[in-house]
Amino acid sequence: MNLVCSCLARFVLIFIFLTAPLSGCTTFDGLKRIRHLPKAAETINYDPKNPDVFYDQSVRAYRRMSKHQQNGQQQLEAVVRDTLGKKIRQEEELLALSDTGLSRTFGPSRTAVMGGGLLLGVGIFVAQIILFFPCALALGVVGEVLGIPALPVSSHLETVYLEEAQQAYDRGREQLAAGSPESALASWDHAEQLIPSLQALSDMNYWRGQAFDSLNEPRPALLAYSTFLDYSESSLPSYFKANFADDPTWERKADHAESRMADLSRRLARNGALVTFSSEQPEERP
Amino acid sequence: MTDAMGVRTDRMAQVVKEGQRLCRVGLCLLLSGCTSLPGFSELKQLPGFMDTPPQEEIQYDKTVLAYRVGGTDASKGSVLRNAVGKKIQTAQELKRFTSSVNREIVGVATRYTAYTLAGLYTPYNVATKVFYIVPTVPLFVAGTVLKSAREEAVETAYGSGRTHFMRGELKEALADWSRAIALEPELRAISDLDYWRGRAFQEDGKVTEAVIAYQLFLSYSERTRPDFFTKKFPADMRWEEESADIERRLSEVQNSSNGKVGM
Repeated sequence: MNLVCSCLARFVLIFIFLTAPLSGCTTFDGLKRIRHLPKAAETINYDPKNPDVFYDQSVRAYRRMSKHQQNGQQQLEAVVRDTLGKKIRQEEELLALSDTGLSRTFGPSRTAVMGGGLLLGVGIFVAQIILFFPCALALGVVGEVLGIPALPVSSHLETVYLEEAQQAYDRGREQLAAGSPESALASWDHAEQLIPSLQALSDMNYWRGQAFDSLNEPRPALLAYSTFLDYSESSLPSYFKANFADDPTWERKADHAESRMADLSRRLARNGALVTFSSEQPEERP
Repeated sequence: MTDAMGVRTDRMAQVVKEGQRLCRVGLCLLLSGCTSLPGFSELKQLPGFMDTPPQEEIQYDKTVLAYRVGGTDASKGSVLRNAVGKKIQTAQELKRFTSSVNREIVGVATRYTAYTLAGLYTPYNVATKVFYIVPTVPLFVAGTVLKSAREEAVETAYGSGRTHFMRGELKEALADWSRAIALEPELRAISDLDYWRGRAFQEDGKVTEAVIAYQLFLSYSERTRPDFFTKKFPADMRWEEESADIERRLSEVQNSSNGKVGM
């Protein structure tokens, strides 16, 4: 029975994954998220004895192991992240992701009902493939053609925002080095507003932690270091590396961030000062 | 007479200001449909294109320890959050946030060219959306079933975590909450999950993790929990009480752990 449910569930998923991208069906709540659900997008088989995921100390997170080898060495694959992009750093998080399988999430009876209902849709699916796909293709071509006049503007915008983000990051680093942490924080906030994924792509939160540290603000410093470890990887885009070639390695920064987090949390716990800002804040208006 | 004219001028200025704001919102809405053009799809969130709220509409809301736009009533206003979803909590953060989103990066000409092109593209976008949605209506049932199943699974995981925590089974509780967050990452903002994670870490003597969880609770969570959490745990403290409780617990965690720090 379980096997049938499991096969049915997988069939349902395959059906949805094939249909949803074809139909552009991202507006239905529930469907639009299914590709992010555990075991839906990509299976994580975490077995400590025979892992295809391992803990990579150099990024302080779990990483997938490639089946392919290059020059006798196993190739590395992507760091495991949750749907918000946070790195999976604890074994319990990994277990949660790997054992939150379809059957555990939805239950066999519901999976069966879901699958049965969708089986009836196979005819529609086939019809979509035959009739709908050519129309979608044609519409896509028309869209591309219509979009041609906008291309110069769109590529200009992309370039402008990327450059601005890089400049804001660089400016922040220079301001921090020049002893102006407040200005540095403003620059990095601006960079993050332009490219929110900078928290994963760059070491910005490490430097934010340093800036808050120098301003003697343990609360945001702790959060910045924690975010750095939770999201960032060593693979910075080259444009950040280019201007700061002498930076310590990611692992050194991670070591330092961990040690600062331990100090800061002890300090916050000792003072019980975590929420004291709440009592003084209401007076501070922009 | 002069007073009446002054009032009228003020009203007109207000109407013009609101009109400008509405136009800006309308243009942003037009842009939001333009998802197939690279560079355009994110414009509405970008500095210079965002519809920034007027300063007088931003108020500090003590009940969520953050700034709110459009009044302090939870049903009216929304909590101000930055690009990565963190609440804007201090005056300094607000200053940095507003100066960032108000910064004009592209010139007026480029901006309005983008608006115009996006506007021209809109009829095509509308037609495409209709074309795509109609044949996929049969999938609506599946979408609804999946949504309710996911919500139930999240609720079960959260509730099971709370039960394990009450029994002192901390590892199991944390695993349950990890599963809940894996299914619904927005829980960090819409529930008190991090408060309970902090308590579990604290009970386990893990100071650093506890403090970080408490900090995440304060930085991301709001008091507006979904009904299904409040229904099951009506005796729970309110958000403000939970946040105040954190301070007391932090002193406890230090005393009980004797400086032991877990990573």
